[in-house]
Amino acid sequence: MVLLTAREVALRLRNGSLSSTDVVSQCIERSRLARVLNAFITHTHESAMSRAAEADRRISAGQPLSQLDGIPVAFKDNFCTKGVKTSCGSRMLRNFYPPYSATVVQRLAGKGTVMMGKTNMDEFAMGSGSVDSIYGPSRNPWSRSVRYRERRLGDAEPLRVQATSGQVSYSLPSSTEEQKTCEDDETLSDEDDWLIAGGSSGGSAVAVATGASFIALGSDTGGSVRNPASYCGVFGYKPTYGLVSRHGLIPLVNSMDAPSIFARSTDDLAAALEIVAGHDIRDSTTVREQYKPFSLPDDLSVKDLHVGIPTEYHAPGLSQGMLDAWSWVADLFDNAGAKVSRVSLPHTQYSIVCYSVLCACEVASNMARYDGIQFGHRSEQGSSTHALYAATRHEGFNDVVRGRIFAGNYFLLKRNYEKYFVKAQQVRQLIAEDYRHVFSSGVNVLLTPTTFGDAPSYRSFIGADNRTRSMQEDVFTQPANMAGIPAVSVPVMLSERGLPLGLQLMADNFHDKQLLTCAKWLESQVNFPRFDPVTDS
Amino acid sequence: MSVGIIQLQLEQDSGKSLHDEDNQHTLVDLNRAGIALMEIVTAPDMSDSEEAAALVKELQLVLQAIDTCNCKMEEGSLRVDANVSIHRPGEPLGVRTEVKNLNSIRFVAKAINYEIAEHKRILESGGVIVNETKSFDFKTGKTVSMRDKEMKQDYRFMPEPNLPPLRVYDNSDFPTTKKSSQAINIDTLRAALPVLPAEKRHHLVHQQGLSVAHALMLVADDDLMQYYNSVLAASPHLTPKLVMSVLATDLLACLYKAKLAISDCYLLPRLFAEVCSLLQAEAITTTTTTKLIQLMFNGETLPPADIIENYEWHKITDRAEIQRHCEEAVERNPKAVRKYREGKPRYFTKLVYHVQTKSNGCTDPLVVTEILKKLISEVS
Repeated sequence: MVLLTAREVALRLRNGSLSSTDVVSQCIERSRLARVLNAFITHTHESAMSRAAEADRRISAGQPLSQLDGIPVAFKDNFCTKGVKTSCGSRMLRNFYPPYSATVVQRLAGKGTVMMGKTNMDEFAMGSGSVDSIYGPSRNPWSRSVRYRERRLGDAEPLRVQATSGQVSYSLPSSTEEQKTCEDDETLSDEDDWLIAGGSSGGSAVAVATGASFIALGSDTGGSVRNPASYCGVFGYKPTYGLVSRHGLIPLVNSMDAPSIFARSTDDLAAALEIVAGHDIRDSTTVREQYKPFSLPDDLSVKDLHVGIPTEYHAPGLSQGMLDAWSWVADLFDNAGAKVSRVSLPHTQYSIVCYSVLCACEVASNMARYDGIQFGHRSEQGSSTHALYAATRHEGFNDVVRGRIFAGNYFLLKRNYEKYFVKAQQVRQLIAEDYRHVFSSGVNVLLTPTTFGDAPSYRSFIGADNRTRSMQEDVFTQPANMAGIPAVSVPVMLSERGLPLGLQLMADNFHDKQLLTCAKWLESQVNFPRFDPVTDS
Repeated sequence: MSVGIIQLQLEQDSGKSLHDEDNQHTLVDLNRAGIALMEIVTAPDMSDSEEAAALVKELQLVLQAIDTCNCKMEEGSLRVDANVSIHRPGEPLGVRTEVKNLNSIRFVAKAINYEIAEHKRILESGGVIVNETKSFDFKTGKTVSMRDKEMKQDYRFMPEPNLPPLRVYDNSDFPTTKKSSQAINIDTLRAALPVLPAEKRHHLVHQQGLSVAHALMLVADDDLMQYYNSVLAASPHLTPKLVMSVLATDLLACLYKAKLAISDCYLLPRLFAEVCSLLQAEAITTTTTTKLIQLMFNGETLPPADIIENYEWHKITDRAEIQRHCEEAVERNPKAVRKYREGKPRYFTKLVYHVQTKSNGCTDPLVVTEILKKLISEVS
């Protein structure tokens, strides 16, 4: 059952060869084996088992609630889950038990999925490594594959990757040492000699990569789902803004946040989207048009597809491995009959600065609700209400959060408003127009890298501060959030170090079906290895 | 007159802090937190406190009619901030001060009057008006500055990203691709509005012949309007003007004396209508009507016609009889007659009063007046 997709398991659930109880138990076991990776903040194993039993009853009675009835899912810890702690990785909410569930949580539960727990994240979703959480950092399960080989080989001989005539093959040297699982691997307990999972939705990515869950939800505001998906070798999909309700998603940037999906296949992404998408009266930014669910076709052809390669994404700092993967995939499309051409998105370079301003402004507003009065952390100190607010917020937030609040407060001052906020909004319009222009000229999808290269080590990642890292890491992913367009990171191949590389596909607003169909085609072409990072097989 | 509305805001009410400095406590009241709030900003089209009070009253009626708010100022459902400035004719508007959180129409009027006088006082003594926020102290009847260390709050506003821009259409530009539930068409909304106060008043004045004052009175009080309509429904032949006259003069007086509201009125509209019918048929005088209403209001259960029988309150139509009463009045009050002839009209009233008393209020004062005057001019 190891690392099957939800669709594959669903088939077995329906023909009786597997039960939801079996599946959930195995996920619990895998979660236990991989606990050193720190993917989860909260486990909900007891309720998961009883929900699995209920699913089994329904399925055997021939009345499944959906395709995903009985399938394990996990939620990033910024989705409100009724009665289950929702901390956002922060001291401010470490004792917060929401009295309601987010809409996406409700919808998935209503269709029979089984919640395995809440996953780790950068505090309040600010960060791109999942290292700034009060519960400690999450670790990339692929950390082991590098070191395992190193230890076996004695030195770091690069993985031989052959990409010939569209096919990739990996030659893993044969081993004589007994295999070890994640649990026994002491090397992972080394403080900083492991790889980051990416962020801010790192926990959810790891949960899916390790098989502790089949589907996991994250939130993507600047790349927070696509980034860890690339590093962890799974699919990370950000739907069009406005397609999925944000009600109950504790906000970072209201105008850019998108509840997003991790899975091990594109079919699974589509199955999950079908359940969560659609107008929600509690979220005025969801579109009112009736949502038309779709499943991805099995016979795929890219002959009528026009793929655009934006020149501006050829950023300095891209690793050779990523550049090779990018041109390899472009060739795949070309050879299969798609039209591949260079396009330009001239305002790309301004996107990250624009994002810094708008994000900080919204953060300053969104974080105002944390004053220790109604919920969350409340300081013991407080000779006056103002002193209480100040102490509570100082104690409750880490310096990343506080830094963005200060910046936002500065940008929103009357004397600065035009210069920063309004200006950034205008630049944002220009960025959105870049995409509109390209898509209206006939391009269907854009193909770009998701990240600069494979997962960096924790040691090198923390060498720079959170703000600098975020500005660097988010460069490829952030513009899609500016424009609201859908984007997905597809794991395409392993780097020389044997680590996943993800490429990003983007499509026009509300062309999610086309985007995922294209991703499915790519999935079928790249033959990304089904490597189990937990047991190393 | 009309007052322009220049801005409309939808907000969420926030909490209130009550600081108890003696005990180093702050109490946070969140009972109104999150409740929807609408702020209506008018143009500076009003020129005195009466106009301002009238505006507030009218807004209350409109908002109550469309079921937006009960507008009970004493409950905090409606608050008023008054912006006051003075200027000489032809000159631009003066610097304004803002008096916040007025929670009764009376206070709105008082605060504005005080503030206008204050502005005058300052300017006439050579000072300048400072643009500041003030609160109204109802105990002293004065406004006081709310300034906090001369600091202006920078609220650091930004547009709310969770609320996309609201596009409002009408029949001429409603998008054909959208269903009626997906977008706002003000023509549709307008057609669905209930009858608004202005329209009601217009109908009462032009269709039913009531005076403007009476129309205002009815429209301002839903219960009164309901009673009035019930009376007319019970007896459709009654003239509205007559009904309203009796209602306003006699019934309201009884209610006021007994400290009751119209909704507590014991006297049923149906019975009230019977009394009005008698008056309209000229079977009784207005004086009798008053007495009749009082009796029935206080519990008399006999039908009005029977009461009239018992008390012999039929209107005296026999001119000869009236003549006799008048002659007696003239005879018994020579001083009054003389004074009246000397040009003092109030002495005439004494004569009329004599006739009314003697006739038990059953004579038509117009007829009495006519006959008395004739008599007086004949006597020389």
